[in-house]
Amino acid sequence: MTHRDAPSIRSPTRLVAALAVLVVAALVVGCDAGGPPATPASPSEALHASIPIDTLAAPPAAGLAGLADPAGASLPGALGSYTWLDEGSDAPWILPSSGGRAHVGAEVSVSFEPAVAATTWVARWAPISADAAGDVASAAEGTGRVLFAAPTAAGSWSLQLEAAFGAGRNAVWYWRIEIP
Amino acid sequence: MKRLLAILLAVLVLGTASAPTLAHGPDPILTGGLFAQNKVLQYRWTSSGTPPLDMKLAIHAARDDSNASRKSKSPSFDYDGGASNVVYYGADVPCGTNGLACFRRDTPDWFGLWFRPNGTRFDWGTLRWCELSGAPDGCYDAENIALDEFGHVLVLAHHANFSDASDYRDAVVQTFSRTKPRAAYNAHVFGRCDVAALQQAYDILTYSTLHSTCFDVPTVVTLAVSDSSVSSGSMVTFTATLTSAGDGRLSNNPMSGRTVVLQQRTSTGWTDVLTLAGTSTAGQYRGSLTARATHDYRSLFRGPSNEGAETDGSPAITVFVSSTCTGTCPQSSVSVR
Repeated sequence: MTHRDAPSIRSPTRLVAALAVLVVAALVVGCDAGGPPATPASPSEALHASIPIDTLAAPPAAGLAGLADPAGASLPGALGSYTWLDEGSDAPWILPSSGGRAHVGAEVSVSFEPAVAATTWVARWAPISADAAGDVASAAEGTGRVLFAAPTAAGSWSLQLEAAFGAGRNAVWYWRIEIP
Repeated sequence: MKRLLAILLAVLVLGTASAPTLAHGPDPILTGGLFAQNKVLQYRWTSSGTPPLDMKLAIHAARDDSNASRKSKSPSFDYDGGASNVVYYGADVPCGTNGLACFRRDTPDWFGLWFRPNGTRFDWGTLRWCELSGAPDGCYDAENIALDEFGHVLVLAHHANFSDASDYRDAVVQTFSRTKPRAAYNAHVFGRCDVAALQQAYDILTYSTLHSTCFDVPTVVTLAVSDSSVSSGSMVTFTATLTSAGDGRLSNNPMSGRTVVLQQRTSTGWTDVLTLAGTSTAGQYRGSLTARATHDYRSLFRGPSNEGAETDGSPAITVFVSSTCTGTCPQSSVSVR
């Protein structure tokens, strides 16, 4: 019998990795103290830089990138249910009043602010009908970097992303996406 | 061409990642610790946020739902006007931006629940509690949401749904709440995966309580024999023990009230020869038979369809029978004592 709980950030390997990230981040900040914030060399570098989850008292914000509109920008997700240590909130499957547009099958990604790394995630797409999300039509799941494809069918879609950030921390975000 | 590539990429990504998880594991639990087993957690309304009568009734009903369906040694809930734990109804809540209700817990002594009021406007729409709004479609069942919150207080985190969320009914403590008339919008008992997590965290209610079918708990069955070397016609007594071998509090628990059989090895495999009867000792099963020939025996517990327990068989025991008959000896005959 195996627990489905995601591994804790407190594991030695992750702790060392987190400390390494902190040291590198401190060096970067220290060398550029008077200038503008350091810009990661590449998007993938930004995705992999993360802060220890223990520093967050509440779920991070989530942004969806890879959209045709807003192009080159990150679309904020609507926070739904979450449990964060010993508190939490329960929400419905949220259909935001506004959203973005993606190409058919486009590769989209989600990043978090502050930059924390998800240990596991599930992305679910449900078609919107009569201004309500229907049953889940497709899904993707993974560990680490949140990267998946938009549906291959045109239409109005509701996207749910459920992400865990180690034991005791889990949150869900929603987007409304049009696929022409 | 780009469109074709995009479709191929999508097929590849979805094809490799979208297969729903087919079997449950234990649901995640909150990390802040447990309340004492079987503790009675009392709550009261706050003076600044007393719910309207129908909301009170819904929350009390959820309390009863939780107490009746926990099937574990998790705490129960009761109302007491002098309690330190609070339930609030109103606009001043610490819930998330889109939260209908929320909780905080501080084990081993305290918890709080907050419910947003009927008519609260969100970006996505207006909150309607079914109990307060004449139960139109699109409303939220307050009893179901309150049961969800009580589950959180006990220790439950949100259910780990399959990728396609087809297992929504397996839990009340869900990642998203459904409105009337979607399936399970008004579930008033903990789902099997809620119960499984409570059992693993707090232990099963009694040794005869069935393990929830959310996932299968490993089991260990043993077998002992009164005498492994007897003369033909002697009565031999077999004693089996059945225990759980799961994680958390589902480890090394005697399992009573189950069906454990004694099997005998034949030329074609193992055959049931006797259903062992439960004894007054928890998890112990016993039966006797008249031995007339040397055979291998084992005890077997078959994981039943109504319980989340794995099948297990004991190591074989050989009962050597010295022949006292001449010519062809009769086959073993079985009698239960």
